[in-house]
Amino acid sequence: MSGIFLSGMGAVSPAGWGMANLSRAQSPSGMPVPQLLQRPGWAHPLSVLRVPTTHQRPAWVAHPRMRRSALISQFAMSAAIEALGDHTHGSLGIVFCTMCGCVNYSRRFFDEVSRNPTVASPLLFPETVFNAPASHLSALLGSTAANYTLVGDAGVFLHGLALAAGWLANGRVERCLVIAAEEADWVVADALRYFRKSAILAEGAGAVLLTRESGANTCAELECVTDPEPFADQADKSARTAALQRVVVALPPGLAAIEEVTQFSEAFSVGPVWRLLAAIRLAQQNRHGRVTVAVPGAYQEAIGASFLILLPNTK
Amino acid sequence: MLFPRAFSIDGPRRVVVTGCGIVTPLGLGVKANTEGFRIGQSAFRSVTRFDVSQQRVRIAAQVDLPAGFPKMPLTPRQARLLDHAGRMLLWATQEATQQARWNKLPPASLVVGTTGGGMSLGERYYRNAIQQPLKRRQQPTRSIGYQAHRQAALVAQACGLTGPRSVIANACASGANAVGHAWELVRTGQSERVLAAGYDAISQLIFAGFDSLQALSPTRCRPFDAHRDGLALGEGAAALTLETLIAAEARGANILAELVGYGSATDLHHLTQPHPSGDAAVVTMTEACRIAGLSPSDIDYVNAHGTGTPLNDSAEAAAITRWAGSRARTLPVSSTKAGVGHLLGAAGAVEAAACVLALLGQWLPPMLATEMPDPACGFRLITRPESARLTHVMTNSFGFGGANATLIFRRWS
Repeated sequence: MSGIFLSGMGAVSPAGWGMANLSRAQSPSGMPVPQLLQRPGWAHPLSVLRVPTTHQRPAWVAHPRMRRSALISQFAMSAAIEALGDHTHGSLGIVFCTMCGCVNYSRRFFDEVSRNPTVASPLLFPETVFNAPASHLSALLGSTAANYTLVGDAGVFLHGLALAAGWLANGRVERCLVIAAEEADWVVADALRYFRKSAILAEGAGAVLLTRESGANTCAELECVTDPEPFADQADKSARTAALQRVVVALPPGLAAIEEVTQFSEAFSVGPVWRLLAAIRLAQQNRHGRVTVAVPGAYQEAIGASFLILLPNTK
Repeated sequence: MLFPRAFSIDGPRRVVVTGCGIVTPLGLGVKANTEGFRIGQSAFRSVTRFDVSQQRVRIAAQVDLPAGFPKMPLTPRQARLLDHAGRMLLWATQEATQQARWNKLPPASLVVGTTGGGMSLGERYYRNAIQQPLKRRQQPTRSIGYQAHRQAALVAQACGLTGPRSVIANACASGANAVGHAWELVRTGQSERVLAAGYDAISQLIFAGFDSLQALSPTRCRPFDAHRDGLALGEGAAALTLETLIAAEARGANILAELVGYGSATDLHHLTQPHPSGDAAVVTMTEACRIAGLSPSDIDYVNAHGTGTPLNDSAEAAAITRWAGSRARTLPVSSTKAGVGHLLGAAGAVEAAACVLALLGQWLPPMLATEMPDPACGFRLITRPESARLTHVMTNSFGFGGANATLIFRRWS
């Protein structure tokens, strides 16, 4: 037993804001519909899965930090606050994971620079930095404790879990939010087409709250995060499959994270989180004992993790 | 398993530096940088990498790299995926791992800090996508190569590091956080050996970004000067090989220094501005000293973040003065950004390397451009080259988003 507990989950996805919408996306009626995104220079727009706009305005939207913040920060904030729930006691670490980061503001700012740098907006630039969402999280949650932003591919969230669990095990923090978030932009959708023409770019966030003590909202215990399994060449599909297989072998047997949530889309760092969260919810309902997730990263490594589901009579 | 790890049952392990690699505008490698930092050499010149004709400020400290690559197990095709930033990282990590003689040891981990990764490739991708939207040539390569974790994967492969890799992007504290995180991994027994590095190159987006904030100095970078008017950007990379003292001694490694303390905290004041009293900096300096079992009177030199902006330097001056207490008046402080500029995600790692070099050579890096010290500095600013007896040196790094970090190194004798 690791003594590191999953005490909250949060999600923002193309299916909507909140875990409930993510769970509903498992059914055909809950599947989100792609939207069209204009791509300059092309007659045909790109299809992307956007997070639907919401007419509900949570209180944190009015915080001065959030007024000019990018969508990625808002996705991360919503998922983090949902995961945090009413768990308010103890020092709070933050591990924010992303692959593309604040790409929308970065693209807009660079576009302004390319046209005329003398009028490029100083309001945009600070929000382009990778750790801007993490900084807003700390500011809104009032946490001065450790705050790291990790950049990586689809497996980065699992690296984040291991980092947060290490902080908790060392006593550096008493609680830790691990969040992954991405935002859609035409420049990313454009790049994705070079590698997976049939995949649709998706945006959103997923978050978990890890704690050293179990509580009323605790639903699982982090059992393990495997060592990353490297493979030499990302273009070598057999090497990639073999690395993924080594990860699967290293994991204890359990309910594999379900694929339906993202089989039609590519959400980089967030996709595996949605799968993991949806699988944990499903395992709770079906009284499965364990959920595992194995992620074949795009950049020469695969990684996996396992959670023990804590059913009401085992807490 | 990445988690749970077998934490050291004998308590924290001592962590030493056995290799150092560095690339800055002062030159390539330890030798050139030792001399440059020791005499306070300045490396600023007109920016040539992109068009700055419409910028308010047009100077920075650029790195000139050799045309080729260091000897390494990457194919030419893989090596070509690395842009200027990735190549600086490659040179620094190769120097550090070769100095540490890590080539025939078991797998080691890599922790890298950066803010921009291969941003120049991202910029090229965007320009091509706009200007020639139907032209696909090299676009896939650019979209992969610009990503920091892809660059880290290539550098790990080049150095023979097959352990876990992490990329920390905590803005301008990234390099210090990378070194600090690597130290935590070794100290707690989670890893035997970790290569910690930081790197960043000047790119048009970042240069224009700092210019748009009017954070760049239109005159010259003068940290802690009463008339300072901004920072100057630079670029570079540095890498330190960290391993346990026991392992280093067992294999007869040449120990350069011991890393004894690390503190990190988050400043909630503003996305780009520090709290005027430097509260988070006080926390990190205090925490690093607590872990090291030291007090301010034990610190012989502080390598300040010292960007040269009015806000950063006044907040850091307040923080150092408050943290050091009665020690402040005689405490030597300087910023190596006076000579090489602000290296962003590389800054923390480069300044950690500069501290190791200062400990080895027993000198204090001067800030020659600082002529009229800000009266708010209640400590001794180093403005001329000096020799000194150094046992413990501290380095501070602060970044956008309130990322603050402090490292303490001890002389190895």
